[in-house]
Order: sequence, then structure tokens, then C-alpha cells
Amino acid sequence: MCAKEFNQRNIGDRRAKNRRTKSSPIDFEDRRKLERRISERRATKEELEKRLWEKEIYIKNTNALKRRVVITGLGVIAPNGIGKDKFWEANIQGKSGVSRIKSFDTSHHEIKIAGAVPEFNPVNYMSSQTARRIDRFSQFGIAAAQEAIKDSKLDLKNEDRYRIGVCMGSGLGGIPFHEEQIITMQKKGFRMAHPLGIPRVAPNAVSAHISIEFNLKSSNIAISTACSSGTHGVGHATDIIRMNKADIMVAGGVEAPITPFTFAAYSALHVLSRRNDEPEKASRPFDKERDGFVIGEGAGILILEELEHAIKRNAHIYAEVVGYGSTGGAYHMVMPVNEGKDIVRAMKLSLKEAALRPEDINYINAHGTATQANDKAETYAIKEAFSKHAYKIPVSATKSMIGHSIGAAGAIEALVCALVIENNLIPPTINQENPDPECDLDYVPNKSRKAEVNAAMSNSFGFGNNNACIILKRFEN
Amino acid sequence: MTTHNKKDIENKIKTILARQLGVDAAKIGRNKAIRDLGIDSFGAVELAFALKDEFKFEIDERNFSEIKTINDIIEIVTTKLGATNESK
Repeated sequence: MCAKEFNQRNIGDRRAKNRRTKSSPIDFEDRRKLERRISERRATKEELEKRLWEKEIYIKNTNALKRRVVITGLGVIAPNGIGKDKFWEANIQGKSGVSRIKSFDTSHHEIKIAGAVPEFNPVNYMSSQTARRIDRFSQFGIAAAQEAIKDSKLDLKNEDRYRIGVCMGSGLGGIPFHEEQIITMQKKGFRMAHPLGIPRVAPNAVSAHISIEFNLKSSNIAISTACSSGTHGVGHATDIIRMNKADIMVAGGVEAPITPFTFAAYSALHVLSRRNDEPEKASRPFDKERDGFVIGEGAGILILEELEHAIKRNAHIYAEVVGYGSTGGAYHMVMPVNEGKDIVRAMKLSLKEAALRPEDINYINAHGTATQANDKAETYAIKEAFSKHAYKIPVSATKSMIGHSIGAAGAIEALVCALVIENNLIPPTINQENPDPECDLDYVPNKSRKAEVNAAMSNSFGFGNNNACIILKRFEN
Repeated sequence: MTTHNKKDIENKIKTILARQLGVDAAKIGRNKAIRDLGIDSFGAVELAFALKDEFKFEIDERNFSEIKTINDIIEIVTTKLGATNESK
């Protein structure tokens, strides 16, 4: 009806000229009709583009910021499980995905353990030609996107692809191929640099390949904010939908950093756990005996959808994204600002945006890397942001089981928050054996816990002093 | 400089194509059109690079529009290698 009125009004039907139509999103039908009129030469492309433009501005002005964003699909590739169900089961069981590195020779490395994704076969998700041409992080991205789209039950054939975008975080991009190329050039000379090297290693290769693979034509964005890339990916995608620039976003984060260079470089920074002989016990956030993080890999993707769109197609809604706070510490490349005050600011900003009080938050998925500095600063920050209520909130660290998957971490953890709300079940922080007086919150030690969770916060902090917090809430209409 | 015969060159090219396309080298016919093998613009760049790595000379991928069949590639490589041998 609205599309019909729009066409009548705009193609110059005098009877309809003065009729005022209420705003409606420009839907797939509008665009199809316009394309048909152009092909039938009943109007020029310019005329119709102008009218479409005017209508879009009208809708933007009236609807912007009123739009709500919900999560309707989840896809995950993680060291302890591929796919939402296996991953969740492993999390609830407290199953670690950390093991000895098999993908490269670690005999000259101090660090010999990682959260690697075992038995990942890219051709289960894409053609062998695509799999061969792209780097592991892009393969993870396509696989997780496929899982998430499948889970959302979106029928892409009947959706307006101009309103579906991609926003993916990745801290390191195609670092495996990058390293391979440097070695090749040392051996064979610079003339043997691969002509497709740049599009393969660039951090936006993953968003580009998801966009190409699923033919999604709205924003196609990559975010690279180190360890908080995944949270920024979800947060920015939420903003894109809120601002009416898209109706659906395939959003999240991805990383495949298990390479000789990344291990040597992180090791030189003294931020990695050296517990090589007990891989499963190495990642121990908030434990007194923690000695650094374990590098992990994987991908987390959420299908974010504008509420009306989701309701219209009767989609399953896991949770609503209600708050997103993002701050910069402007202090140090790798150290959190003294006492984590910019982390506090990020948490408070997300609460403010969500219009929630501290006591409304029932669960925090901590950044919890297991470095001495992070866990101490984060604990302090939670106490600052939540005051006395901090001691009543269960806080758990997914990284205790899967390690720190850099750009994927925040997205996987947001996905965990959605599943916590869905199941009213909180996965544990494993390897809690020695209480640390400086980390004295409730970290849900070693065993999952049943609890009513209506609102959950996920924290991520990255090198470069960037902090991101996202709040998910049980959906209520 | 190693000497090349045409059969060697043909086999090497077929091995490169087989690796790139994920098919059996024995099933790639000499007169097969490369377009039918599913080589797109990225594929042409990859093929040019693989030939450069194998035979140590460059085929400008812009000339790929003139190449229709595997036979054309064999001819180009043979001519180029022949010229290299003569100049030595």
C-alpha cells in the first residue's frame, strides 16, 4: 500500500499529488518497482533516484535513533567447539580448548601452547577455490557467517541485500600469509611477492569475503582495534542499524594469529602464559597464579537486526543490544590507564546508553585475559562502576577456556552473553584455584551456575588503550 | 640453463593448473579453453604468478585475453624459453 502510494505520488498522478503518506522504510518492493519503471522507460533513472533520495531523507529524519537492534542469529568457530551448540555445551562443561601448538615448529619458541581450532575444514563452508585463495581468518569469517545466517533462518533470496551489511573486527588480519610472503621474498627476492598478497592479508579481507560470499550490499566495514575489535565490530554495527543505514548487519570479530611471528612478538612483550606443560591450566584469569594470556583463534558472528524487521519475519530473538560504550585512555600503548578509570568510563557510558542502573546488570563477561595488569585493573574498574553491587554480580571469563582470540574475543564473548540470557545459565571461569586478594569479585569459579540473567555486559580492552563495553538485555516488546 | 622439451613444459603447466583448480592433471586436455576451466580474472593473475615462479619469466596477465586454450600457454612458454636458450 505504501509503496503504491509512493509511486503514484512520485510518478505524477495528480489525484495523489496532495496525499500525505506516512513514513515507511524503503523496502525491497519499492526498489523492484523503480527498477521495473526504469527498464520500461516510464521514468528516467535520475528522476526516480531523486524521489527515492527525498523519501529516504524523510524517513531518516523521522525514524533515526528510534530503531531497536536485536540479535537473531549466532555463529561461532572456537577452540572448544565449532557451531553455537557445541561451543555452548563446552562452555557450560568448563571444557578448555587450549593445547600444544601443532601448526608450526615451536622448538625455538618459549611459548608452545595455544587455543587452536582443531579439525576446521574450510571446504565444508566454501568452494575449494575460495578456501585456497583466502587466509585462515577470512575462512573463519565465512564459516561463522554461514553458521549465523543459518541460525537466524534469514532467507536471503527474499531480503533486500542493499539493506544488509557486514562489520567485522580483526586485530591482525592475514598474518599467516604475510609471514609466509616475507620468507618467500627472502628466499626468492622481492619480485616473487604474490600479486594477490595485499587483498589477502588486509584486515578487511574478512568483511569483503563475507560480503561477496553472501552478496550483502550495505556497509562493508572492518574494524581493527586490537583485542577489542570484536566488541567494536558488534557495537558499530548496532549503531549502523540504529542510524537507519541498514536493517541487518552480519557483525562480529575474527582472528587467526597462531604464527611464529605473533608468538615470538607477544612473548617478547611478556604477556603470555609460560605454563607449557599444563596447556588446559594455562589460562587462569583472576587466579593468583596467573602468568599471562594464551593466544587463541576463532570467530564470533552475530546477526543484528532491526526489531520491526525481526518481528515481521517472526525471527527468534536471543537478546537486544541496548548499550555500547567506547573510550580511549590516551595513556599507553599496552598498559591500562592507572586504576582503569577509562574502563570505568566505558562501562558507565554503556549503562547510560542502555538506560540501566548498575544493579540491573546480572552478569558480566569480563575481558579477563589473565595478565596481572588486566585482571587487577578490570576488577578495580568493575568495583568503581558498580560500587557495592559489584560483589553481587557474577563475572566470568570465557578466555579461561579458549584463550585470547584477539579480534574475535569480544564478539565470541558477546555471543556468550546472548546465550547466557537465552539459557539463564552462566559459564564458569575455569582454573580458579588460588584466590587473589586484589581480585575479590564473584568469578563463577570452575562450575557453571543457574541464574536469572536479564541484562549482561561484555567488556573488551585493547592495545592502544581502547575500551569497549556492550550491554545485551532480554528482549521485551 | 636447463633444456626444456615441449612435453615437459606441457606437463608442468598442467600440474600448475591442476593445483590451482583442484583437479586431476591427467584430465586437463591440451585444447581445453581456459575459460571453461573456471579461470576468472583473479585466476589469471594467479596463473601468471605460478608460471613466473616455475619458468622464471613474466607473462603479462593483460596478455591473457589473447590466450584461449592451454595450447596457447604452452606455445607462449615454449617460445619464451626457446628465446632465452638462444640468447645464452
